[in-house]
Amino acid sequence: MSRSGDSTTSSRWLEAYCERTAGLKALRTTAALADVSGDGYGCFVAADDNTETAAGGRMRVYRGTTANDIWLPDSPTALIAFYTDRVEPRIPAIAVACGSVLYIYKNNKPFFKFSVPSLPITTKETASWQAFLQDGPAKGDESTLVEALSAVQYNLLSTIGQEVISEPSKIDTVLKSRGITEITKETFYCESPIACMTTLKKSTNDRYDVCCPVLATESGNIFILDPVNFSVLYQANVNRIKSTPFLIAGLGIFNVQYRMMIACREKHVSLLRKDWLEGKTVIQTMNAISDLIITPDDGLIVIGTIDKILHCYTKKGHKLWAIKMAHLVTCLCLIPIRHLSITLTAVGLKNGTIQIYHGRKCVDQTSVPGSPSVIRFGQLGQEENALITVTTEGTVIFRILKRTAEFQLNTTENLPLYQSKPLPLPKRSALFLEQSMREQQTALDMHQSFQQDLIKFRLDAARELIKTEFAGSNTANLKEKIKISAQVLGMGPKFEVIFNLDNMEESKPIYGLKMVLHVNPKYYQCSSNLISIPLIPPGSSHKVKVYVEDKMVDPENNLNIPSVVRVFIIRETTSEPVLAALINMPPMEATLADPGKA
Amino acid sequence: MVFVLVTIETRLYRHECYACFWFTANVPEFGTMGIFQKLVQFLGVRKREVNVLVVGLNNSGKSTVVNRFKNQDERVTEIVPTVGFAVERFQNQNLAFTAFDMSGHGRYRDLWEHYYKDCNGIIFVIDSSDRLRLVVVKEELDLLLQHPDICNRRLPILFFANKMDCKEALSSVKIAAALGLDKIMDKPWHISASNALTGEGLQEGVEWMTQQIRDIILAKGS
Ligand SMILES: Nc1nc2c(ncn2[C@@H]2O[C@H](COP(=O)(O)OP(=O)(O)O)[C@@H](O)[C@H]2O)c(=O)[nH]1
Ligand SMILES: [Mg+2]
Repeated sequence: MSRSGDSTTSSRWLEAYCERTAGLKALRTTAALADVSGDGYGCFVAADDNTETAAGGRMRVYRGTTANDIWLPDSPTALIAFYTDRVEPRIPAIAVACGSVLYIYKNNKPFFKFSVPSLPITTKETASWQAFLQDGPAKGDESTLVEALSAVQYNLLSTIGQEVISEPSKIDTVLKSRGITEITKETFYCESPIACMTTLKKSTNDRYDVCCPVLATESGNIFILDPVNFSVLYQANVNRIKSTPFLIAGLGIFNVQYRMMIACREKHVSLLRKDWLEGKTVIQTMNAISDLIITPDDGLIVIGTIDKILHCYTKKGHKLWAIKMAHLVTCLCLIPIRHLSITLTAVGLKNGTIQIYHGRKCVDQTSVPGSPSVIRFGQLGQEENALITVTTEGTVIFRILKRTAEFQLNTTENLPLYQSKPLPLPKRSALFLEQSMREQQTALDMHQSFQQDLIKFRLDAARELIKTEFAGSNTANLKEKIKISAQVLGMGPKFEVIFNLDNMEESKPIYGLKMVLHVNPKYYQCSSNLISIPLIPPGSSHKVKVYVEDKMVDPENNLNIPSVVRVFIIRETTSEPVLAALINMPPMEATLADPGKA
Repeated sequence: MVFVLVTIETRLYRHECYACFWFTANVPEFGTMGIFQKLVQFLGVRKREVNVLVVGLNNSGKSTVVNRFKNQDERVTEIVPTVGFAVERFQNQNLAFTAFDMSGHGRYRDLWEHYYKDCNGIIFVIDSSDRLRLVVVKEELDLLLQHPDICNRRLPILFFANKMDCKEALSSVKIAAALGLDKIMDKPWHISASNALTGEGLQEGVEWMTQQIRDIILAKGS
């Protein structure tokens, strides 16, 4: 029974019931816990597609461990439970959205039916129909009509438009059967299916208060309904930009202040507040959202995305933290444990693990057989702290939190990462602003000039390398293993230059070498320009002493004379010097007339 | 023989009223009891007071069971969920019952744990139709059996598999198996299916309990 991932302590959950053959394909949005009969006995209600017949759906009510099915006329997309009134006994309404119709049940019996108000068709579609119908009924060009309609977003098309698009060959029968000759409100209207639903407390925050159902349609409309007569109390749009809502969560009180978070298929979350006619994008995610919840006490938004990341945002959409999970997050659920006065978050992972988070710290872990598709927490039967999981394979699992269960909550560690006190950043100076403005405006130019400089620098480096490699000015010849070093002694005008030739060969002596000194005869004069080098035994060196005299043409060196002596070691048989060296002669101390040695 | 029935339930109700009530009511109850006992001693009648604890989850039928032990004319016709706690005193043949029906949430368990020490027997009432909470019953029973004031004592435990009349009710054999009663080696135990509404099965159980307690007392006395 103990399936806890934490092996050191036994599970905090009691396995109350597990039905592997339930075959319940409940979605994230189609499950709820409710005191269905008003006798204080919590029931688990879930809706799914009817698998026995092709069309339709079913609503399953678990009273304890016994299930009862109610057939629905269509596939359900969302299910909510809420109190419509304060009449005793308090029996909640269960509302199931099928297409654009909301079926409301009370105590397992049909109670009310609400249809989402139809909307006028878009101007784009009107234009295409007008073009088609102007030549008289059903005489226009069908292919151009289909083409024009295809350009319009499918979920914004009128019901007729959708029919035409899905079966272009039956366009005649579609139009004839309705006798369509002109565009009227009665025949051309948009009917958008309900995508998701939530509830909003009407006037108090009491747990048992009357709630308003909130519907979000595929076309991006939000309807807040009156719980008594199911008329539309408030209507708004999800967002200015194209938005297809699929998850909605609300917080607050309809009559006072409320906020709703709507997750859209376009990878953004819109915020809608009281008196707003249109929602605003507050969160944009890199990947598709798999589930969304709002924590009741601080209004934080927790989102799972399909890239296995669990995100947390403030109510304004500032990112607080993100955790990389080991597996895909399939569903989320709030776990309010009243006797411990804490609200935890259950995170269902694809591999069947359910992790329980307090803030961003994982405080418990349990697992279910299969990938969880929906998790609910609340009163089941007499038990207040029950965790209900339905897996994609259709297994239904009921678990009960042990009365003695405690969660090691380290409050300081769990504080949201969001900076309550700002970072000690320096004040933005005018210069900083100017610079950042410039960076923003001329980002391309800056980048290009940087790249140019970088390439130039690399080119220079390469050139230098080649130069040293092939200029033949090596002071050491690796092939011949000979090295030359020079020493300039004296203050001028007569310098003594001592060359030291090393034979670095281990066994071979060097012979037949000559040394050539090359100077500009205008400025310098050498005691000898060609010196024969005797045999140098391996491992030893030979010293050559040469006097170089500065002719004192320009003592101040105003003419920028290159004061160099070039030395070449040559072998008579080859034209290429064995070794070449450049000796920079020191400037002569003009005041010093004494040509003595240092 | 005087029976003191202390009924304890783990109640998870919306409206809860806790211990404060208990202490104010407790003093006069035991005060009169003391006088009664003194009177008994004065008259030289050998009477012994026996405490029996009635435990079980909320809604299992403890109050209804206790109500069945009352005289016909003292019975209440309708049992309402116990809010806070209630004290029941009644005379049945020559047995005097005092029943304390109290609400006990997890956090206040320390409060009713004190009764373990002084009780001579336990009546554990189970709603046999509540299959969902059978694991909770097992958890509570295990906690009770592990308690230091209980684990090392030869305490008779009587289980009532109550609500046997319900359609979904599990048999007493199945309940015994689910709770692992066969593993209780050091204590005498007995399970009887009951219907507290009609009184069916209750008498049999109480007779077993009386016999057990008598045996223990006699064994101690000799
Ligand atoms: N059908 C049936 N109902 C019972 C039985 N015993 C108690 N009840 C009902 O169960 C409910 C709870 O009983 P109560 O004595 O208040 O339980 P307590 O919380 O344990 O004190 C009441 O509505 C009783 O009428 C029984 O044997 N059979
Ligand atoms: Mg009671």
